[in-house]
Amino acid sequence: MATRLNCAYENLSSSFLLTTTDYQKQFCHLYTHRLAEMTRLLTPLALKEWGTQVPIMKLCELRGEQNVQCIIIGTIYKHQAHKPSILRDISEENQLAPQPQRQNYSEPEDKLILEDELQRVRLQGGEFLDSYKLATGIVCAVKGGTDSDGFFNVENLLFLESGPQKPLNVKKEGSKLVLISGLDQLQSHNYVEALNMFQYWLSGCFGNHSEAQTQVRLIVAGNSVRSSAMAHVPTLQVARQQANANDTVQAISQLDNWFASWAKAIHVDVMPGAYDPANFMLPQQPFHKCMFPLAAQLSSFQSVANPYVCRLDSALVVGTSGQNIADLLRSTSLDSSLEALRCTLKWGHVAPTAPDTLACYPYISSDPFIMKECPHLYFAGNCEKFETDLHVGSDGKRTRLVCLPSFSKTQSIAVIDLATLDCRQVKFSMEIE
Amino acid sequence: MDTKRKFNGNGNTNGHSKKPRNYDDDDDMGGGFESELAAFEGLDDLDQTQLLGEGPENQQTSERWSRAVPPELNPAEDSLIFQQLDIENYVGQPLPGMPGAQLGPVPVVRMFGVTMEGNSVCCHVHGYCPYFYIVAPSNFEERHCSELHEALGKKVIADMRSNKDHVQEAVLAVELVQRLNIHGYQGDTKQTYIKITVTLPRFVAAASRLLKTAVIMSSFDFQDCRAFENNIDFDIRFMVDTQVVGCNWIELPPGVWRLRGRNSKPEPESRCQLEVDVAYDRFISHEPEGEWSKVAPLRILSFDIECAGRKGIFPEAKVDPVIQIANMVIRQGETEPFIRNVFTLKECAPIIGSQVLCFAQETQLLDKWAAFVREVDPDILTGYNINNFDVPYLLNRAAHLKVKNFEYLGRIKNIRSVIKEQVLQSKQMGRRENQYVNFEGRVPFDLFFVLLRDYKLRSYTLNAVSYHFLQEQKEDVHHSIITDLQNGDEQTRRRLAMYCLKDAYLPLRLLGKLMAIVNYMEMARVTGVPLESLLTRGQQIKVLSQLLRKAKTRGFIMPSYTSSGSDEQYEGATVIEPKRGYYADPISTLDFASLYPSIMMAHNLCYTTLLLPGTKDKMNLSDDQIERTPANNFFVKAELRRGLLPEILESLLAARKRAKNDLKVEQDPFKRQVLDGRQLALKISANSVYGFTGAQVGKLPCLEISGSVTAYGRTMIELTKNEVESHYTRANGYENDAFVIYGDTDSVMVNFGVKTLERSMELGREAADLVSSKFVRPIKLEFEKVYYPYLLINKKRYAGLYFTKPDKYDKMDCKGIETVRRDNSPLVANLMNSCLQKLLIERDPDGAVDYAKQVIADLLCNRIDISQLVITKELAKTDYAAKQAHVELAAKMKKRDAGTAPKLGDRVPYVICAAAKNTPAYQKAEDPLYVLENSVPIDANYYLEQQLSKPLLRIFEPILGDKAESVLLKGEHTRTRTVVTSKVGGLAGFMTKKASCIGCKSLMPKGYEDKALCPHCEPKMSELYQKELSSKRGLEETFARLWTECQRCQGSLHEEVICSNRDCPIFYMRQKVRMELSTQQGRVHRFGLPEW
Repeated sequence: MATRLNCAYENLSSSFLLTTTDYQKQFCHLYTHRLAEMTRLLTPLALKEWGTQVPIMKLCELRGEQNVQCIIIGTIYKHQAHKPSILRDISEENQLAPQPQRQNYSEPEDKLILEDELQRVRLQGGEFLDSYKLATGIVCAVKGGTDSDGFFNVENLLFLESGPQKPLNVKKEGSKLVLISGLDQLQSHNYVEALNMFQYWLSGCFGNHSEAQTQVRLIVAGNSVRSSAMAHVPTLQVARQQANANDTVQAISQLDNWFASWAKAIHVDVMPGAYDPANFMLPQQPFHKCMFPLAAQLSSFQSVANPYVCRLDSALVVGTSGQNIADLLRSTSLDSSLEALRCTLKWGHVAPTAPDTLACYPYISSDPFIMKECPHLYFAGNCEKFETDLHVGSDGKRTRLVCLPSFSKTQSIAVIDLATLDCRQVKFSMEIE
Repeated sequence: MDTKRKFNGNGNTNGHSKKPRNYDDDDDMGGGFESELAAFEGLDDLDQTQLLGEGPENQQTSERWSRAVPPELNPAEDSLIFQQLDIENYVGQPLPGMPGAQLGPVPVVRMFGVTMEGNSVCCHVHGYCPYFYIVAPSNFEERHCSELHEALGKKVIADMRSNKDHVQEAVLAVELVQRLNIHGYQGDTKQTYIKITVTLPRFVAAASRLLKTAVIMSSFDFQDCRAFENNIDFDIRFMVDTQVVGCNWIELPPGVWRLRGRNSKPEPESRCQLEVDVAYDRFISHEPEGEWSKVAPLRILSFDIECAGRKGIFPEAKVDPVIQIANMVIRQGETEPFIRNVFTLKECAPIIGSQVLCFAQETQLLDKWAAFVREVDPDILTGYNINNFDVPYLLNRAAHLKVKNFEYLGRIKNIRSVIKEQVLQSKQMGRRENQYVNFEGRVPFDLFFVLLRDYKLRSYTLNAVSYHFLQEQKEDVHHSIITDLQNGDEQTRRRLAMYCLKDAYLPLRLLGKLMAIVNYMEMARVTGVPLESLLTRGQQIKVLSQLLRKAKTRGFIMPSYTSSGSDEQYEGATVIEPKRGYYADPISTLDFASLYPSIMMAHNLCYTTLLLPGTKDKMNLSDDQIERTPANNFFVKAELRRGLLPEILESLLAARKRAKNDLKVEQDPFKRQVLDGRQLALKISANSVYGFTGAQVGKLPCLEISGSVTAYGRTMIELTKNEVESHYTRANGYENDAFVIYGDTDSVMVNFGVKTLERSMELGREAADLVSSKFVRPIKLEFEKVYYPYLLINKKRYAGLYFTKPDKYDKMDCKGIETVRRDNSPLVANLMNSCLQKLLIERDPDGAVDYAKQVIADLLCNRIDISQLVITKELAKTDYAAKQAHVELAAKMKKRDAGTAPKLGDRVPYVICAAAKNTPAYQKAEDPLYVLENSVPIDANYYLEQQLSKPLLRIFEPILGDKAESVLLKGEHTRTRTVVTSKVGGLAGFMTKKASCIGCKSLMPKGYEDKALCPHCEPKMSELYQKELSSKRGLEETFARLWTECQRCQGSLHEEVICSNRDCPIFYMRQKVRMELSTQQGRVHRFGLPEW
């Protein structure tokens, strides 16, 4: 491996690793835990923000009284008529024309409901409450009062905002992190040149030797094998075993070659993505070693979970392969991946729509997706296009947001300076722009 | 909820993807009910108690509950107008100034109704007396009347066992009248009849019996004198004579009525706001036309009860307490209930949008609920299966707990609601034993009965029904959990209350969606019978009511007929032998519009026109005055006498035409509902006239009429066939020779041999006109539709794509094909449906065959979801003569866990499992959940041979011919079979599990026991691992989608799903995926954790 800058690395993803599983459990436990944990974190924030004059109450304490000013902490449930429903799919399976899945099912008729441990209430409240931009599963504190129609009129809304942030050590020459996603090996014949160029660039053979020395790590953020779903034929049976496409197996072994050669130059972390041969539910577990026999022999290569959390020197890096963002874009009217990414940061939860519309393991006594510490770099893979912003939160917390486009579509990657949090896109397109 | 699952079933209804959006903007696909409740407008304050009286006197506790205060009315100056809903009679004392007997007791008719302002009215109608006729013996003259009067009166009084009412007078009048016998033409000369008016309805039967059996007058023998109209209900009699029809508007003009008040005599007897007296001949009964077709703002109360049952035992009123009663009250015509509340035993947390009334004692709960019903004063009571469960249970429970005044639920203060057994025998519904409870003045309108009468469904559980009509699953709580929820805290009781409220709300939504109230009200108006009798009685009374009305205007009277129980049969409708096959060309269908009614009209078939043998000569009728029917009966022609039935039919069909025309121009949606309900009611009524003449246990069967009708029908079908086939020929210049490929009752399917829809429609229209011209008016052959393509399987079994316009098909029409039969598994219906779709819509017979083969292969390889295989039967009784699968299973389940085992009245879902050869089928039934949990192998052969093969062969034989069986049931695809190894029974106990290689399934060599792969397969590890992972992926996705769906449906994220709605298509799936995912995870796990 070429000489690289020294960079302390710590993998913080252990909470995403499942060593034992229990599928007898239901999803209510995850919601319950999320609500309890986030209530604990939100309560001091609410007191700080709104003082102690307005009491924090439970819905069941309202007892049908009206116009009581209070603060309720609860989980948002967004009722959406066109939310994907397996019940509907089944009943339509034998029908004439199956309805195509809607790309986006956010509608003006969507209803926002707040649910605390025991009860539910419909929310309303003009400017403070934009149902387009909220999603099921968010835990928040609302201030307001009930009205005679049984609605809760929201006057203000408070989110967790992802915990405190640890300070970033500023070095003179910052280590750089390289992010890539959507390699889509099955389509790689279309851009094999770009891949080669990327490899040269990575190893500093492009006359970028000194630059390459500062690059300390490469994270491959999902969809390395494929970036679209396998064709699914609806039939009467639920669990028809899908033929394991031979090409996937082949693609994996090609990837193994690429990864092995990259890992000779730099530390490589590979995350599984939505369409990769990995498990379906979040958190996706690392690829098995047996799938990458060559690369696995190198200590600089590893597969990690999705979502992935690590600390590089003092920078906390949090990222996903993009499922959380894609799911939010389907169920809300947020207009860009960057906004969706920013929202999850503000809500303090990586994947609020899990488990509702985003498959997720039925945790019973934890919710690993709550952001208790504010990251310095927060990224999502497999987005439509490259977008980035330096988000400044409360208390001056600074987070570099990066929406990573798929390499297969744009032949581009992102490089982030872990000291300054500067971010730039690097393109390996053969076309001259 | 589940405590009353008398009519459970397998609710996999298909064919309804229509979204319910058009009905109710507030429809939630589940999950939203709580917030839906909350979003209803708020409740006013409820605690302004104001006692109006004592005891079961109405209390006015809340402005919202009580009706608006009625206006001050002065009988001398004001008129009172109300819509009557219920008519009944009672024995009372004569009121001075009223007609009729002046010595008590006398019959009084009570009409209950509502004014347009929403005030309830009880109207006592005085002076109307029952009567009947007998044929006057020869020589019986006017002067003999008084003697008969006196003699009969004495006999009747003497005949009474006791005379606790102190009847002093039994016969009120005897007079001679001139009438015509409705049965048989005898010219227009009227005969002399004795009309005997009695004082009380029960004396009609007594008097006519005594006339038959006893000697009344020495000079006359009445034993052979046929009695007329002595079998007509008093209420119907009253309605006919006063021109009152069901649910019409009654006007009491100023000066003719009296208002009962606090100090009036007689005192008010009812709980209605306005109680009045009027003479039977002084009020105005408005025909339900024009302005008077409106509907008053009726109050409809829907309710549902929960009881805390014991494990495994159907709730018994003597033991198990009533813990909750949820109520919803809506005003007819409005979209949302204005009262929503739930009465609970013990504290219950509040529910926003609904009032929660908690009671520490069950007696209090029941007492307050009864008071609530009296205060709300509903006109209609509804719910789901309330007649047979909720109401009797409440009454029995209240009686057991000795709750004073509970049973005063009706509108008459001193009448208790009591339970009676009622047996209803009708051709339409078969024999049913029902419980009936009286609610004087309130109409029990059980939604369950409505559905049973009007819809043929796979299952009639509220779950299945709500899924069918509203596309909503209903969370269902198993009865074994209800008690636990009740014994929990106020939050668990709140959860229960939410279900209970939903169960009370659903019937209202369904009634609205099906427009049941409006339709039934229109039916009552058209046929002239009270609303309630439409649900409690058969079809006959409707025709009878119309016939009596018509007969009265023309001086006819109806002989009473005692069923002789003869099995004289007449030939039914004709069926042209079908030319079976799959027709890829358009098939035009010609239909006779309202065939039987038009035959009766065209040929003047009626009781009054029937020529009995010998009459022709006696009356000197010429041949051109009479018509001989193809059944060899004779009727006089309309020139001589127009029949009553043709007239009734004409007015019904004319009224239908008017309603349809009004419907076209009407804009107001509610009025459109009324009109649409009306035209439907008219159509059904017209068709039931024929049935009335053919009903052998009826009031007046006349096989000459019904036999002639079907005979005419047969000849007309034949004639149509001949006309079409002789006219549409190549010789006459048409494209091809036309063939009638099938004909049944009132339709004929013609293959004109043309290729395009347009041409087949054109020829169809032309042929309809051509043939119509050969028939007597109003018989009309209409071109209605083209089937393209058309699969003709057999008599009354066919399927086709239904076109009324050339550009797009209207629907897929299937007749007599296994899609709704309830003793089949859903697999059959779904497979048939899919195959038919491929055949007809995609026009891909090969695809259909392949699909069927695929499903068969899946079945044999155990890849079919178990919910597709579930068969459901009701556990009606345990002592069937022959052993039955579901009964055996219920007994087996009881041994395993008495708590969750099906109880009497439950529907038992089961699947057929593999067993040793020659095991009788009834021993092979097993609980689907048990099967899932223990991987018991399914008897795929049973499903293939007993369930799938016959219907499949039926639809494929027209396409594949004789080889259908070998292609479908014996082909290559049936060779591979998978048999799962059961965890229970048989040899399971003797088996030890040894590790085998995931790749090649061979036993693991020594040293490899804890590995995933044998040395041979190890090089392929990556590939094999990916394969296992890919299976797990699919299962994970399904797992997540299923369980989040249930979480959404139950309307809470933080609470565990406890729904046990077995009618829900995903109920078994979610259980299955749990198990499969665990197993699959185990396999993946053997490769080791993905550690780096």
